[in-house]
Amino acid sequence: MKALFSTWKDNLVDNRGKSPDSWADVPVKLPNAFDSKRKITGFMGWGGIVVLEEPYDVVEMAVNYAKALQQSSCAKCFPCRVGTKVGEDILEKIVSGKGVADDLKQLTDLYENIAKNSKCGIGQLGPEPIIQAIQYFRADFDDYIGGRRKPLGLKYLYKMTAPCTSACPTGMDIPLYIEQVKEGDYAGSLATIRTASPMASTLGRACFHPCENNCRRDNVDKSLSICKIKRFAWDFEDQHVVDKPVNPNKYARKETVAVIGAGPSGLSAAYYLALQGFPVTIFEKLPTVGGAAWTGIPHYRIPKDIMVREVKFVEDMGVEIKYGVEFGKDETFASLRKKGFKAFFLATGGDISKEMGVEGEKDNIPGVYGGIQILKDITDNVTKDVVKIPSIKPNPVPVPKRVLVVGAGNTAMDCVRSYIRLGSEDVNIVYRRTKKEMPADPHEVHESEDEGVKYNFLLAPTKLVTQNGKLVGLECQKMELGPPDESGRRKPMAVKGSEHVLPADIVISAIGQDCDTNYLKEEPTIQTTKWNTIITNEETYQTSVTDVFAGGDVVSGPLNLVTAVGHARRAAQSIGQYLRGESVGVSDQQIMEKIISAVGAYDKSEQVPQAKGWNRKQMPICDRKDKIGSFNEVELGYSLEDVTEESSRCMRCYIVGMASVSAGGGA
Amino acid sequence: MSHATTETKTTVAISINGASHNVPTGTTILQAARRAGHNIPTLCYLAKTHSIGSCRVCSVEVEGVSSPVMSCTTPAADGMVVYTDTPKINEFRKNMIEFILVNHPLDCPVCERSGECQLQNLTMKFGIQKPRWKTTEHKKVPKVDWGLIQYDRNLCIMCERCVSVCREVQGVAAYKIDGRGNAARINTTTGEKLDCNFCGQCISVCPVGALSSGIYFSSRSWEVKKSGTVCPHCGVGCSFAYDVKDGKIIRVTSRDGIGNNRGNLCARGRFGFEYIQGNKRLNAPLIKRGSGFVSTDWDTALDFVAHNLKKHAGAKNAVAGIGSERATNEDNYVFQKFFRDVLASGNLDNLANMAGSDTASGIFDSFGDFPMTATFNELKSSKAIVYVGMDGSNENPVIGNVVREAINDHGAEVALMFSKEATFLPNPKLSLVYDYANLNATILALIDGVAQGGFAGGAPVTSDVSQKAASAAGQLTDADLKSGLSDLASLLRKKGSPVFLVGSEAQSHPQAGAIVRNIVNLAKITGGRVMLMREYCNSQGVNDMGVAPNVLPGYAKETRPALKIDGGLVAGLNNGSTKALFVADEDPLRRLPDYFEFRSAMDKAEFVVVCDQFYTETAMAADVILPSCTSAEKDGTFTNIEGRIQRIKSAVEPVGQSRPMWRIIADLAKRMGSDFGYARAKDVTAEIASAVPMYADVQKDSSFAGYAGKISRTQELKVLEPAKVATTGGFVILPNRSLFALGVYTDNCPSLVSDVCGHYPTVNFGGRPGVDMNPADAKRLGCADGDTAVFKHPKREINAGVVVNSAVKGGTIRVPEEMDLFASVKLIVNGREIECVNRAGMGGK
Repeated sequence: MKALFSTWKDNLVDNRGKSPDSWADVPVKLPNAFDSKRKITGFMGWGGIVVLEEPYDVVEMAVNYAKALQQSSCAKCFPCRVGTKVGEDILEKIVSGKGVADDLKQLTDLYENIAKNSKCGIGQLGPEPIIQAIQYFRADFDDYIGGRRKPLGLKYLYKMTAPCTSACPTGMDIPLYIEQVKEGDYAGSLATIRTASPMASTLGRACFHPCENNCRRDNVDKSLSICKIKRFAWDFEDQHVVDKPVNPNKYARKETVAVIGAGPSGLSAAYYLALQGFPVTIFEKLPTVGGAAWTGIPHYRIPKDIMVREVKFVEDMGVEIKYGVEFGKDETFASLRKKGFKAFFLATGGDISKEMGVEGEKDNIPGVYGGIQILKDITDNVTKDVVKIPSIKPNPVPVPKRVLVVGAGNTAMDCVRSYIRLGSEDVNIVYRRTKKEMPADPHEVHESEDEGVKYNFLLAPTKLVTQNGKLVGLECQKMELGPPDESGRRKPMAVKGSEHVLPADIVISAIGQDCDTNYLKEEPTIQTTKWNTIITNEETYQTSVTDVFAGGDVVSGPLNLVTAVGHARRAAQSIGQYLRGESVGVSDQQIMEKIISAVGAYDKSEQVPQAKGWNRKQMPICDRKDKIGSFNEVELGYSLEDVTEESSRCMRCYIVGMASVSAGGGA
Repeated sequence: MSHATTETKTTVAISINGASHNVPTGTTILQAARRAGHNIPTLCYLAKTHSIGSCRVCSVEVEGVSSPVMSCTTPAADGMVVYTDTPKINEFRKNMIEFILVNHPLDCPVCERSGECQLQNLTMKFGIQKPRWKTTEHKKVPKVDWGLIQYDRNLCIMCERCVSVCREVQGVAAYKIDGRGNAARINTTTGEKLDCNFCGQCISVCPVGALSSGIYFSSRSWEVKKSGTVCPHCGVGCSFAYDVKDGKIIRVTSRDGIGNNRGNLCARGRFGFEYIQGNKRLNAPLIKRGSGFVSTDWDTALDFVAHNLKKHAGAKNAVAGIGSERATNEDNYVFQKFFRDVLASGNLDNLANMAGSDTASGIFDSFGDFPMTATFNELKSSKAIVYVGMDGSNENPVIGNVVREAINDHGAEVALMFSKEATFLPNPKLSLVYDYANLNATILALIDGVAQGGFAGGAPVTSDVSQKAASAAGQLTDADLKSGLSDLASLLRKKGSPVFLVGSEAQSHPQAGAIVRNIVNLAKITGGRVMLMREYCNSQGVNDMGVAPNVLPGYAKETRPALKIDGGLVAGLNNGSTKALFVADEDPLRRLPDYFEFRSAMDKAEFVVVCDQFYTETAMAADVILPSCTSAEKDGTFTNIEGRIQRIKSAVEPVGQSRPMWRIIADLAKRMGSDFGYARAKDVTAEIASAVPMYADVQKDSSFAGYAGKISRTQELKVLEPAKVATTGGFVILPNRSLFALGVYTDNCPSLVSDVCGHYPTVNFGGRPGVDMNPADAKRLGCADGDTAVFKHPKREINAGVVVNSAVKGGTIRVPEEMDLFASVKLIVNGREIECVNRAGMGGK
């Protein structure tokens, strides 16, 4: 993008005095509008200074940024706590016209010292833009010192975040919960986690952890095991005598909310609503909680007895869950409105397996299953004695010798690893691309290979093959990789005449899921996409019907747990605003969150001045005998001493981003 | 359990200032450098907590890293090249000190920490003359008064040591950092007045003068003489020093890492020294005249005592003696020697034995040659720790600190068993609440649970034991307790070799003997160990020295028929066979479960002599009171709960005419014709060493471990069946034990009593003590928080206040310690009399 001036990521672009046509590009993506009424004129943060346009006042910007640093400083190290106050005072003095020439040398000296010695990102990365301001806008500082300049009075908004936090759809304060574990404050850590999500166990076990891909420690040696530290915090509460938290606002308000679906999104929304004081009822069609986290994630990754205890916490906050209620059939918008529900949150997920589009698929051939359906059946069978829910009526699950699973995502991994555990001898993946393109978590792929799953790459299924009405195999076609498609992955192309049959006792289609939104017939103005997902406002998750909100997979399409939880957090805020009669919208802090995310809180190429060689603590896993032929949890969780060490690796990369905004705004 | 991939290397090679070192993986640069003899300055670093990293003073240069690296938070890595002392790094360190000095006034001349202030030392070291930076005027704020602990924010540098030590070492977590940026301060976690154990660890780790003692330190640090000795307040036997100026003890300090307590102390140890030179001390011998006492000189008093004892010397049982749990081994040894050799009486006992039924002998019977104890090192390396009859670390904080080391070091798990909901931090794995009357059955049920699953490495379980245990388990009806016991049995099986910490509730129970034996059985079956918490500094030693019936020093059996005792000391007084009573440094009237029972027995004696430092209830009932001195005024040894024999050293001259007890007794012996020939306490110690095999090493100054760890154990189990405990069906009265109240010593520490008891209305005898009851019971009795409860017994009437407390088990009422000691007690709530029974009434002594 174009900007008047930028030092972002150490690339100096100075277009001052040049005609806008000849401005050079800057390596940063910054939206022009802050919101409909305000526009962004500049940005200061961990990566430098960006000035988008006139009018600007970098001196004023610097003093405001210095203030932001001081207000964000956690007070846990001397240079940042004290130094940023000293800096703020000197800059204040300069802006008020009382500065002297030596102040600028002092400031540079001061901020260099802070940057070199501070404990976390605020002190380490915060000073640089101020030093740059003095370096590149020296004349402006001199004007203030000489009494020739007065502040412009622009508005500045700042937000403190961290690369990991910024990457987390729930905006969890990750450095804080990790630090609390390090300090032995496990209850405090869990409380921190729970400000962002009630699903600490589920996320701590099965999150795809975008945070770990945005962990600055990876620039030094290896990213932190953020996800599993979260699990420790929850497990500690679960396994020790701990006073459970209470909701001080329980039932403080009278407006009741109906949440449809008890998956991660529905449970989370219910939780945030309960914390605001709203009585919430969740309507769930299955006899079990957790939605896709129950049915779609096998017992060896999320033990269901543990999930029952996890959800108990949500119920304790003031949430009622009604099981076996199918929305659109047993209850409707009308029936629930009649019962007094004032708002709806639709979180029905996506639980219909996509069809492979092969010959014979419509013929109801026995032995052909959808991935998500067979996983549910397996879980029901495996856990019926563990969770003791009488209304679970498991469908029989065949355990043949040879299993083919079509697809290479996490659902496909769950299917093959489940069949290894059920005891099938010959368990196969069929995938039309190669290992490199597999969407599944590489860790899952590695584990499945270790457990004996076989991979058949560059094969696309074409036909279900039967003999006497009985499934005997899957006809496949060989593929070659062509040029990249719109997803960026190389497009598979069929090799003519390469059809051949892979023998199979059962075939499982695990190539994705669709959503069932039949219940929307009642509210035809709520729009859906061609994938049958619900269209909502992207910020507020409100639909075109004002009392109806939606989130999770039914909005995003089948994606992941943490995104669904993130939707729920925002949606619950919106529902609260709606029910309190406030305008439904996002806060300046949330806009800043989005801007920071656009700018990029994490820079994979940053050279982090930290000593290398502190290895990530290995997660202990169960014995091999507990993997094959058993659904026992594979990962055993960190021990207290290991989690303490792993937490100590965190560098607390808090950063502060500040935007200057002026009236105007627009598109 | 198998680890996923590569085995981690056990050592790494690091170069420090040009020399290569192999250090264990996980060693920080700071530790590696210090081990190699390189001095890196630190300020916030504390070896006993996680590395805080707030001060940034310990930075070093690491090759290839452009910024300074904090040596305390960075582990050494293979191939790392470190420089600890370059001009560049020293400049950085100096800069950091300059940042600290922005907010810290250089008011050193008026600061009590001057001379022992780490910031002062670093400021000097780096040659900083005046602050380089300043902020807008820092407004002075008044000191925060939390009673025994005071916080001066103006001096606070926010190093976070107090926060860390309080959570990680003490398990209290009373402090937090409040606020952000320069305005941040240390505050209590709740934001309210400090409500904690007042261990004062925060004061001891404060590197500056921000946290200080509520007992004003009226000295400059360089004016005091430190006198290292052992704490007299409980059986842990913490090492500490009395700081003495002009013959007065003005402070207690402990150096980090010193003693079995590793520098940790509790409130009693740190603040409980005012009794030593307080104005309530007896400073001259007193002889009863009419209804009062008159002061006299030693010769008169000793002649008088010798004359009266001589009358009864030689007759079996005629003179009875109660030895002391707070006197030294030397005192007790001389006391029993005087009885057995001079008075020809074996009629001796001690309150550890008498107050806790047959506890002590019960334990010694079960252990073989030596009392079976665990050492703190064994406790620290244990993987499972079970508190039995003890309110977590509230009852003994320093033991709690050792337990926390085991947790932080290798994830040891803690289980609590108590008659109310006990607490521990980090949160325990299990917390079992038993019915007090059923404690013995509860232990047996646990034996049943453990025996059922089998236990590798422990003593074999005989069928007799398993039958008795199963029958006891069958008696329990509390479903929560039963499932808790089953979880505990699994935990013990999983972790192995547990340590059972046995608290005062178990030891003072009417069935204490059987209970402790069964805990010992449990320990034998599980390959574990038992550690008996002792309330007094020499409860172990008084027994070791043979101040007990039929047991000679070192647990040799009494074989001389004339010295054998049957029936016990109180029985002798009651049946008239005992004519004279000698109570040495004890207050049985206050400590025994039934005041009137002992009072009436004691009144039957013709002659009573009491030796003590204070005018106690028992002393008041004596014919002669001989002033003995405290452990701060004499030499000798105490034996702690590990069996560690520790030297105590005189720090100050005895108050008034008070004398060490051993000397008083020896003088009496001389007057009665036996010259023991002791000139100094050391002479007694030497005699003990030669006379008592288990104390043979007691004179070795360097390795003074006593018999700690030298334990011979039999595999034999002796299970006692649980006798039925009689309850009347009324409320069971149990004590709320307080850390701050332990009889006559703490009574005479005004700062402890006034400053801390203010926070603890339950032990505030001066104000209104609290009577804690379960919410359901309160509802049933129709009373609410704050209602008046009148506690009536023949001696006095106490107006107490009802405290509704969900931690209290239904059917029990908890009262301040000592209020539970009267057998005939009535509690009147809202005008209604409530039937109650205390442990004396339940059949215990």
